[in-house]
Amino acid sequence: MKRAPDNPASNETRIGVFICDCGTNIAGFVDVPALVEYAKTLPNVVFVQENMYTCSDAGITEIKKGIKEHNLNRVIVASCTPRTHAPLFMSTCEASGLNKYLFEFVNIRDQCSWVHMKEPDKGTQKAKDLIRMGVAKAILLEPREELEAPVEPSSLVIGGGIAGLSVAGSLAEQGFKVHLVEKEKELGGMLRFVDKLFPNDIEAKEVLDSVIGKAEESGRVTVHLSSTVKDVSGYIGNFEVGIVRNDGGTNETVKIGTIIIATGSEAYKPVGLYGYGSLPGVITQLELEGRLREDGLKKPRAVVMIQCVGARGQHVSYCSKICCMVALKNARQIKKKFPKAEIYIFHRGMQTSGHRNEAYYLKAREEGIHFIHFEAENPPEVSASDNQLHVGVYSPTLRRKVDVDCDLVVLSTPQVHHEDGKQIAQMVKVPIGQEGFFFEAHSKLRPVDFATDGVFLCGTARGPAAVGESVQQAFAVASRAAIPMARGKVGAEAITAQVDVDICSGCGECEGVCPYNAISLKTHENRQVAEVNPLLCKGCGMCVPSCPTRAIKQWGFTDNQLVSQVLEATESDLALDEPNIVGFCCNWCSYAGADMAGVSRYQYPPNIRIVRTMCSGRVDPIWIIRAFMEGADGVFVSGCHPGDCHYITGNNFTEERMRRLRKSISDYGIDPRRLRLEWISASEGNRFADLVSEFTEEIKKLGPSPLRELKQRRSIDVKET
Amino acid sequence: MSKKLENNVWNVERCAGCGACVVACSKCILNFKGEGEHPVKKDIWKNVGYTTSKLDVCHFCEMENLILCELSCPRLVEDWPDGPLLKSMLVRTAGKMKSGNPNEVISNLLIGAMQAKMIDGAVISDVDRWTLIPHPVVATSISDLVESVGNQYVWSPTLEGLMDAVYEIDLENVAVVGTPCVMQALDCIEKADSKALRYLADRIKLKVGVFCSSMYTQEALAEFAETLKIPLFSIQSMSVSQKNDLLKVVTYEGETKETKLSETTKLIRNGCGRCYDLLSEAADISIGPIGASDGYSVALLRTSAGANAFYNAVGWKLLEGKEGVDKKILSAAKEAKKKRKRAEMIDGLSVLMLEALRDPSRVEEARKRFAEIYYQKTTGDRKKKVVEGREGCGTCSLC
Repeated sequence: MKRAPDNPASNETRIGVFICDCGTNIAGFVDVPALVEYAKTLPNVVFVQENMYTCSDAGITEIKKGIKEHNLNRVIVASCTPRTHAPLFMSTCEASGLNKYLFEFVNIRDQCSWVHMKEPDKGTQKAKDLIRMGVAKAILLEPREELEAPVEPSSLVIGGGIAGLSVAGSLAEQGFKVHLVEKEKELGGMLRFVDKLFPNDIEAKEVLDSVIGKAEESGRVTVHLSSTVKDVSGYIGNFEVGIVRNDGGTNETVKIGTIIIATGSEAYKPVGLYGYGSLPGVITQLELEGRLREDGLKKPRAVVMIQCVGARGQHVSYCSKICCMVALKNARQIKKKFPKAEIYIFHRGMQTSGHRNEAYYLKAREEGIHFIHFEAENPPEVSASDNQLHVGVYSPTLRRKVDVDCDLVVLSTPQVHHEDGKQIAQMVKVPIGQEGFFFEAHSKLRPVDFATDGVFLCGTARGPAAVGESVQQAFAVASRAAIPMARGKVGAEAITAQVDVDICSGCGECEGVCPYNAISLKTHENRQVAEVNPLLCKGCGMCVPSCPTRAIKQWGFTDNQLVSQVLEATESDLALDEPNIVGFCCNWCSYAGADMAGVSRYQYPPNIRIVRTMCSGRVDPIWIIRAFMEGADGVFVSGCHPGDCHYITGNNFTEERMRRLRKSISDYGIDPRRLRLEWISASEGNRFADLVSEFTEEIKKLGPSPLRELKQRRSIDVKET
Repeated sequence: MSKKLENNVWNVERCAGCGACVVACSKCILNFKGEGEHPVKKDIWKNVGYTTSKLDVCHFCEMENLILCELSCPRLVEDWPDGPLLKSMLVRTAGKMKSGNPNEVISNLLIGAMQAKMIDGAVISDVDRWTLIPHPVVATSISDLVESVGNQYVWSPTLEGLMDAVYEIDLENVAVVGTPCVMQALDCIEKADSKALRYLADRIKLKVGVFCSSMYTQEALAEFAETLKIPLFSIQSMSVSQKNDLLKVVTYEGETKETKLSETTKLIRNGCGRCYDLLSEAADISIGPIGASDGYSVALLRTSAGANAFYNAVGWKLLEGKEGVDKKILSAAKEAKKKRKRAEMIDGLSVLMLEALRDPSRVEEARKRFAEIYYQKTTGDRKKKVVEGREGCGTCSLC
């Protein structure tokens, strides 16, 4: 018994299918003329054509001609992969007056002819199924217009330290207006208290003055001293920010296009550790810098510096990375002024990585600075008597206790996050990591961006960093932030999500799911409803399955479209001993991985029919249940590796949903092994092929699903009667 | 505890937290002591000789196919219809106070019932004076009723109190005050064909429902206090205005602090997201502020029991009622909450589809339901249905 169509299409839908030979890439392994004949039998298909190379000039002309002559309002190209060629065919449609979102791609090369070279018959059968799935989706396509909004060519920089100043200077130099907000009375941040900078031993003041000078002379930087930021609203290109004066001056509201967070960090105050706060003569490195800077250091006989105070497992878990160099620098400065002073550095392993720093360390050794290693379990002990400080520590290298009398103990403490960070994070809606520092979108690919568009991050607000690194980050931010401002507009591919306010119950579930803060609750007709800002929406669709009422629709990947693809995938005429497998692949990793399997010609069994979504987080458990209900033997869901999700958190939701679903289906008599979730990256073509082969084998061993058997039996019954 | 409860309610975050299953379980193995919003099952271990083995207690219920927790769960009922309505009245407390606060009204209603010996106890809510976390209490005297704070915005396992009232204190005539889900649970208990549940049902004489849009989790209060930067214990009262998107907190120092209501939605219990009953349709009498004029509450008299209790309290000069409920606002608010029915339908659909996996004869039914739910919605160009007179508070209960 054939399933009644869920979505009867209107007769006005006229689909043209263009099937590509790709030379012999497709036609050499798949029976293209058979595909053409098959496509002609599909509903609403009015024109089918075989092309040698659809992407060639001749092929493009054929599509244009087809649209005109046959009055097509949907175009399907069955050829390589949408990842490389969809933009070309979409613009072809546009050039012929057809909305480009009425185009659908069917992948019969990378995911069919190239991976089933030895099984041309089964490959042809799969290609037919794929085309049928494409037609089912194309029937439901809707025209869409892309959105655009202008970008205000100005920036807000929060924090007037070295990082903030460098960003401001660089952006101003590029011609953008900058509002620089600093909570203190003067610019400079932590650098104001620093003496010299390693590894060249230049004056911090000089560096600061030159950066401030550069920012000021451009004339485009408005400095707001003694001010804080309040009420951030809007989105990339169109933020509105309130700047509040803390000293009673007039508050201001500014319109800006991008926000840069450069709020810096604090040096940890180790109160209670090694006698800090109770013994005079126990100070931090930052306090020592102050004394060196103002020539306030009395001639010491001996100085002891203790490293990792409060860091690496004490107050904070991380290594603050700059303190070893700071200690070296200050030790050398003291040695320079007072060559007779003995200087000891008690350390847990000196961290002087980098091509200049090691040489700096060796110089310090040559100058006679003593390095004594200690273990975290046996930290030094500081005591005082007769105006003298004593530091004792067990050295595992010397295998004995070392006792030093000195008149100054300097503690190297880590850079820790600012307390106001949390407030700013809440206001701008950006994440904060475990250690309290701001959290970038991707540690490698987007190191100075936030996931929220138009908000950037640099300096020690991002984590411990030396001046040079902060400035590097600042320049990186300046060029990143300049992109939307130079372009002058932001747009979004029209595959964004939209909330149906008539259905939305205003529960707010989706708001918490969206990693881009594109969803917010608004009052509509006196009740709360969710609203998606299409300019912030990235089109992952992970909010859709999270919505209890399914009030959200992702354009281009609607529930209707994808379900109809799933249904067609389960309608395949595979023999009963051939498993019917529905695959879900995310566009960025696993679908690309499947393409890579094709490009590398890794062969796998032709039983899987892949449905493409933008993110695995878009895969709705309801579809999978439906697939099983319609007789699928297995469902293969794949996404990016954990932590690598193109949409940051999408695969976390997939994992949780699939875990639950696996449990549910097993309670209802479906073997949980029939639902597989795998992580496949874009480069792992062999992994994709291996996993699909293995999964197909496993399903073969499990045998056809009970529902498929029943379905097959029924259809035989119908044929016989 | 049945698989059904676990699969169809707890795991899909539909649990209302009413506590009906906790009361109903004849083996007393459910409680709210676990993490998460739903009850958890206590493991029962039995010593057999020198070994200890885990006892599958639920087996006994399953054997008789009389699974009490399932029978009592309101979330397993597919469709909750609108309840009866005899009369709707504006009501406030009589005497000097003349308060329209729903909690005061309910308190006086119960005092009247107790004075008239209609009930000898009531399951109501009170809050812990230190942590402000609400919990159910059994009031057996008028002073108990007067002292309790009543239903607040924060969830408490109300029906756990029924357990004390019936099994510990052994009250014969009990009134229960609760949210719509509690009323639905009581309805389930009353309609169940089970002797054990009948024992409970026979003692419930009066069901007083409040209007409820959803409840906050118990952790929410501490969170509010943190966001508003006030110590937890200084919160005197809270109020919510959906219309102005505000959550107001009044402190004992007399300060009023505000935060955006829309930013607190993540603190709402997940299980409440699926409930579409605003006006306690299954109660004997529902009381709440929506549709009332200033200084009054609305009382919806649904059954003769509810009407008796109401007119009794009026007779004792504890309450005074008058006509004039704004029915437009009331029905608009009710419809707004009914939007959530679709969530319940979608949950029902996945359950139906899962059942079809085991029982293929239901496949056709599941397909039909799928088409009904999925293909009826069309985004965008649908004509906006403008509900007339929706001026007041939209969906909340206690503003």
